[in-house]
Amino acid sequence: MENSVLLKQVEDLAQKLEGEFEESLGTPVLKIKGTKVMEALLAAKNFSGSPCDFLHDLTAVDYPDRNEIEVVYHLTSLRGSQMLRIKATVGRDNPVIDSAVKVWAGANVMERECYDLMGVKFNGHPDLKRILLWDDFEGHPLRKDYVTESLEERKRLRVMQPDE
Amino acid sequence: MLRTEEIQINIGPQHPATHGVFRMLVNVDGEVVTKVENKVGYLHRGMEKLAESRTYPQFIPYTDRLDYLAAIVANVGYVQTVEKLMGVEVPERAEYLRVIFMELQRIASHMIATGCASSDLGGLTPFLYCMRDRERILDMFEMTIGSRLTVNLPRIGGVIEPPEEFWPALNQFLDDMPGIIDEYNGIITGNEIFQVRTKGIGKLSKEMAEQLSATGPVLRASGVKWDTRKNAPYGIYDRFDFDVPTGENGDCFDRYYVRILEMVESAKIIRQAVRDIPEGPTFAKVPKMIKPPAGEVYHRIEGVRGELGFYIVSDGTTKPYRLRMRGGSFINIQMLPLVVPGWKVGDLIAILASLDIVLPECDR
Amino acid sequence: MEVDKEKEQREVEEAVSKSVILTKVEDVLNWGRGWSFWPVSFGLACCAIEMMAAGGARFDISRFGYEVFRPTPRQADLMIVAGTVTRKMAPAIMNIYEQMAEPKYVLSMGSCANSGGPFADSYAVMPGIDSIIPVDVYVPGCPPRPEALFYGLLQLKAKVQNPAKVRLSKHGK
Repeated sequence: MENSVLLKQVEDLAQKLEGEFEESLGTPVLKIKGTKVMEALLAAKNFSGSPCDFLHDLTAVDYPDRNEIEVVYHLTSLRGSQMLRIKATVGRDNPVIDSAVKVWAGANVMERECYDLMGVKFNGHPDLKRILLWDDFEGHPLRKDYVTESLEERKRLRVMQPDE
Repeated sequence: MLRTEEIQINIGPQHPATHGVFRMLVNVDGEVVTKVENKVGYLHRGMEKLAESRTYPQFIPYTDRLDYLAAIVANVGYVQTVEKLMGVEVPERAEYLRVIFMELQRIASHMIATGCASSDLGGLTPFLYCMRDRERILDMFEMTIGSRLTVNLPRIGGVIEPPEEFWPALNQFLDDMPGIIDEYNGIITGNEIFQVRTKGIGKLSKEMAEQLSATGPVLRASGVKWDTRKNAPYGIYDRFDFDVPTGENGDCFDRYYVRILEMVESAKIIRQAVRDIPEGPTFAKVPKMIKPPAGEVYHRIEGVRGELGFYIVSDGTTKPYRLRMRGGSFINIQMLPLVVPGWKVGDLIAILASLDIVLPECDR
Repeated sequence: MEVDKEKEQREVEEAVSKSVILTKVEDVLNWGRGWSFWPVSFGLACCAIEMMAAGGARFDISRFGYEVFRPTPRQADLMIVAGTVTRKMAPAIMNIYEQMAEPKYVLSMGSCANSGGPFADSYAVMPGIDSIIPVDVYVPGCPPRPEALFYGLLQLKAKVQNPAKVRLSKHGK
């Protein structure tokens, strides 16, 4: 799908933020460091001509051999059919990144799920706690070095918390 | 002066009016709700982690269980993502058959949404009408693949050819569709009690819907004319001629009525597909071991309750490195803490029924 | 005269034998329980939709007498566990099971409730409900058809109405 205006703008943004630009199966991809993510999101929201102002998805991928976690944002728009993928890398030992809740209120539950399953902490999130797993679960299951508990352990009934 | 106190009620995971195991902590002051907190996760089965130990074709039955009321739509979304990554071209007849099955599944799912919207408010009879009409569609699925609910229909590279009895049954169903819609309009839409309980309740404005990343009928009822099948088409949806119904006020009645109109549009699409379907094979040539090249892809389709997105990161082996499924219901429930405070407890049930969530999409 | 009296007495005896049954109290109670289970509406996942379809007009569950789905467990005596049991939900299930009054029965519907199903090796799923609750009947399928659910319910009825016969024929003890 030809969208040369968008591709040019993403390439310029990549140069400005010292990131990389590539195109994967028709979708422009912008790779940056985790510290520059707020500038990238705000710039992409205000692109002239084809703004990417709808947050479609927010997720994370674990790369233990590079010692990195990539937080992936997919941005689309309700005024056109463009799509942009922004990948922000954070270190695996202490994954901290700025929260996008101020830009899009819908990022709230998506960031909580990322924290729950992958362990990425978001600065500025109003209520960062576990959402899909129970509160005293140990570990972050989607990481590659997580080991699932044995059958006997999973058959045991867990203790009910007082607020359930 | 009487002193009133706020109490906290737990509308718990086991409840006849929540659509599955959904829990809400509700603060009420008398009968008026002041605060709602969603608690999900009671059906979290870890599908994304399981995907890393299953091969690509072995994962297709799990996408059925992602949204069990609209199983074929989720199946086709996943299969199209893998085909996009591998660069496989599906033959024409298979594309048309996929469209027919997806739109039939959309009609079946909207029938349950309509029946539940009425039965949650106390009108139990229309639910039985909707189940009776849905059984006709499930018979057609059973004729083709043998299963009613979790169908596992398409494969990477094509779809199965339905038997001879499928086409007369389909044509008979399409001829009966206007009568069925008239019946629903007579029992539910024109019902005065239903109108009083849903008109003007739980308004969601256009700007707030866009900020919350809401998609699907919830977004269209708030006035935004966006349908992925028309604005960012996938497969062969750009060859069909259909409207995108929108609402004006964004209240519960609009969210319900948009679904009735969408059923009519889906029937239109199926008629055009039956008229134009070509002869030919239904399977493309794919290798025996599905090994996509290393890379990543994101594909989005118009699911029944919102937009579904599939993100696959592949490292060149037969199992995916990371598979992410974006569910529409998970993001749509964020509107509950913002829209419900100020309404009464009975209205809370009406708003939840109009959202039409299904829990595995929330929890995966 | 003697013949008339005897004939009358014989008629009375015949009438009595046609309208009076002699049995144990326990058998009568079991007969009543078997013909009218009251399930608690407890659908968790996809199997719940087939349970709803079984209650619909085509596969009518009320021809067996089991259509009274009670929302509260205090008024119910059968728990149909339909769907995947996650570890987060398990304490809530125990809560509901303990609120039901004796005699109570459990029917495990679908392969997720029997043994974990396709999710048996997931980190968040309890593999089968029978590790925390005693199950009476297992209904396999993914999801089982409504007719399969009826077969399971009829097996449960046989178990309730003839407990000794079921124990002998199935378990040989």
